[in-house]
Amino acid sequence: MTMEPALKLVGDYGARYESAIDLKRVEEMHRPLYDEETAISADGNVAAAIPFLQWWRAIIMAGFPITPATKWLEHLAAQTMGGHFDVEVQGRKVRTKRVKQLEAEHAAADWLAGAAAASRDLVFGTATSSVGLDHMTETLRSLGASGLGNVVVVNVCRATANYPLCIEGDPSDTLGHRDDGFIQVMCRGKQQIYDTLLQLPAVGMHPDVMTPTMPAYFGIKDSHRSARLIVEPDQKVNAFLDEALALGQQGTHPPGLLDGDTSLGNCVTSAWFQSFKVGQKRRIQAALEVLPKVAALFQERFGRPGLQLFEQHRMDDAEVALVCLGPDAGTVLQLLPDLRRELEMRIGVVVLRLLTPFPSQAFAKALSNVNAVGVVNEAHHHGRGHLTLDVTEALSESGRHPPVESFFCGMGGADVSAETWRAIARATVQAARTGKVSQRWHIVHEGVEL
Amino acid sequence: MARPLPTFKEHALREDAFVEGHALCPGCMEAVTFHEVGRATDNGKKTVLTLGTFCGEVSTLMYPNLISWGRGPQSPELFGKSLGVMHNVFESSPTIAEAVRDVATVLEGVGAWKAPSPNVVALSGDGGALAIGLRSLLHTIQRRARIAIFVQMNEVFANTGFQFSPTALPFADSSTAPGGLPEDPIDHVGLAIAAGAAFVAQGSPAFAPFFAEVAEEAINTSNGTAVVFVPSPCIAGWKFEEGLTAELGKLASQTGLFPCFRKRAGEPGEVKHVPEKGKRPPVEQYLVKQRRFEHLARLVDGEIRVTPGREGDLAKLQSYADRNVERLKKWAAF
Ligand SMILES: Cc1ncc(C[n+]2csc(CCOP(=O)(O)OP(=O)(O)O)c2C)c(N)n1
Ligand code: SF4
Repeated sequence: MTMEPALKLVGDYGARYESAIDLKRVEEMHRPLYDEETAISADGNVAAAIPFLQWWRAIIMAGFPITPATKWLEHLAAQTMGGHFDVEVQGRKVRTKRVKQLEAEHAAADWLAGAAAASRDLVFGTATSSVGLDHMTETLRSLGASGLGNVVVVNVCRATANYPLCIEGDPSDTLGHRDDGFIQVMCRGKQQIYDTLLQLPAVGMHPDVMTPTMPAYFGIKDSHRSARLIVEPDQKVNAFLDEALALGQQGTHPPGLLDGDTSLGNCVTSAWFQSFKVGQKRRIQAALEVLPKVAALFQERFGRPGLQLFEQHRMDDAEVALVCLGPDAGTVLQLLPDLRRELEMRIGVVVLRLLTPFPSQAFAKALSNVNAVGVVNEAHHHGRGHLTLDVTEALSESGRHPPVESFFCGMGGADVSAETWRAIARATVQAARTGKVSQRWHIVHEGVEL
Repeated sequence: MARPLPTFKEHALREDAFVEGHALCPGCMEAVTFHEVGRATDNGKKTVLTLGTFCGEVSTLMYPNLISWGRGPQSPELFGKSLGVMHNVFESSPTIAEAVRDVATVLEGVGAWKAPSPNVVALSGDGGALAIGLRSLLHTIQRRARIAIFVQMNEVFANTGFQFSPTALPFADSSTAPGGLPEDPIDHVGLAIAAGAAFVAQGSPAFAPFFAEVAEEAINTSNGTAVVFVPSPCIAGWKFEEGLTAELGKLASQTGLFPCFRKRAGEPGEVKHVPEKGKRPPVEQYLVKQRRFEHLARLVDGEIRVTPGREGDLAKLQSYADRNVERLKKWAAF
């Protein structure tokens, strides 16, 4: 056996045999998909799949089909079986990249846990949606606390309750899983999906963070509609990830099952449990510090904006803020000049990106001058809405209490039309003028209150 | 198999990987099994263990107690003695083991893993494998994952207080089915074979050489999944006297309730350590040593006393034992 004597004790995690896995070799065996920057037409699922084909660190992707996430898996299956990733090693054909079919989403999540624990230098992912995400819940929550930041669960948002079954997109799945312990990031548009994927493992695997990530985008509205996508060359993609991973302090990388004498997933009594939670909370909060650093490096390397806590549109002089997420933001952004004029109020828009940990302080700061907020929830909630609660909490933490109007629309992927946005803006402007909300929540469709 | 399997003596002299610090009940068969798994994996290959949630996990991975798995710190030259262990959720030990194997396979394929192919071993309770985890067990087998799975058959959910499990013998008392239920338990051996396991065995460490052979064969199986069902007398749940663990392990086979069995796919298997019908100890001999069956029969002054009115139920248990042996013979020939 050709084991170089390089054994390292890593904090509480156990011993790591540095040369047990020859990562350089894995990297060398990667067959690049793109040699140069290329503009293609892609839907959201393909945009989210391509990074896994480009990363040498992604050797196996797990899957179980569910609309509207299925094409992520189908694309990877077609690409990895197509011969491009086959290499010859000592006369044998070896597939360097594979898709792993599991029998259920629960199994896919379990598989991710095992694979990510096997080697913590590699990146393992799957894509799912709705009840598929729910079916993973048991292991998602374990993963959220596991420290396995090299797990990426792509969630293609879809209405999650099956009574009635609806396969179109709303973020009730992602929002229903905010306490699972993942770093959840919402995307809109194919480029944002692709760029987000390129950056997230660097956030999740940072030794201060060590938390799995869950990028999300809307089913159908983003997953199934194609647009222009700039794909970066593999060489740049991988160099960026390496460089971004090195933003973490060196030497604290924990061992995996294959390259370490280590144990994961121990049990504890109440006397010890909370100290683990202190660590988990600290790690997920650290994402608020790490994410901007990764984003800055991304912007430097690729010239496009990196990850943001949230997008701000005309917020510099805004008296009223509309808060939303996902692809329907596009409509209100187009309407914004008209709305400002029609309603004679300086309206700004905040599009949420980082859902957990919710960037409360930065958010409250961005809204420190507005007189009313309208929050657009596109997911069923028992009360005023998931996002409304986050927004209200962030504002009250900062000591400000502008009226927060709460809206439900777009549920089950329903169209959020210009008329709906007008109604939302009108009610929020009204709240700014009267200083109070008109009702606990509004349910709006095609501009009509239901 | 590439190399001949080690002899019983060679096996017995190997280094254990189940060390002090565990909190299993004194008299729990699982401890014996784990020592055997430890020895079988001391074969120069790196070992990865995955555990479901069961007594064998909560009693061996309890922070901040010593982790009771491993062979101590190793120098890099002894990488083959090192051990990684992971628990995820109740029903997932086959799947997470499969994942570790999958990663190792790709790394080996591209030449990034220079050490011998690792041992990947899943441990589970029978509830974890055959009740909540039947899906994961059967599908890991169906995908021919190259892992060995040891299922501890104690017929109850012991960890949570001895609740009913679908592996329970008819009329075995449990905390959620007082007095037991009349149905035959799930045919675990048959399910594993039907799902396509490369090697299926049932054996108690009470038959030490047989169990050592089976454990070695399971860990050295390289063409698919090896599944070993280990009848595991549970002193706390079955309520038997101290010192009877091995005896009950033997009787479980001899009565036909849990006969020793082994079979490689495509080859005839064998049913062992169970005498022919007529020469078998009647099931009462086994049952009266455990208070979980005291509502059916008890020992009074050394004599078996069947509870009046329960003769039919005893006959049903005897019939299950006899049918079970015949069924296993059929599976052996499958
Ligand atoms: C999803 C889920 N349901 C229930 C439990 C509670 N639980 C933990 S261990 C266990 C029983 C384990 O039984 P078995 O696999 O037979 O192992 P044993 O404890 O008997 O060794 C149960 C019900 C759990 N951990 N997870
Ligand atoms: S309760 Fe039973 S299975 Fe659990 S440790 Fe005790 S004897 Fe073993």
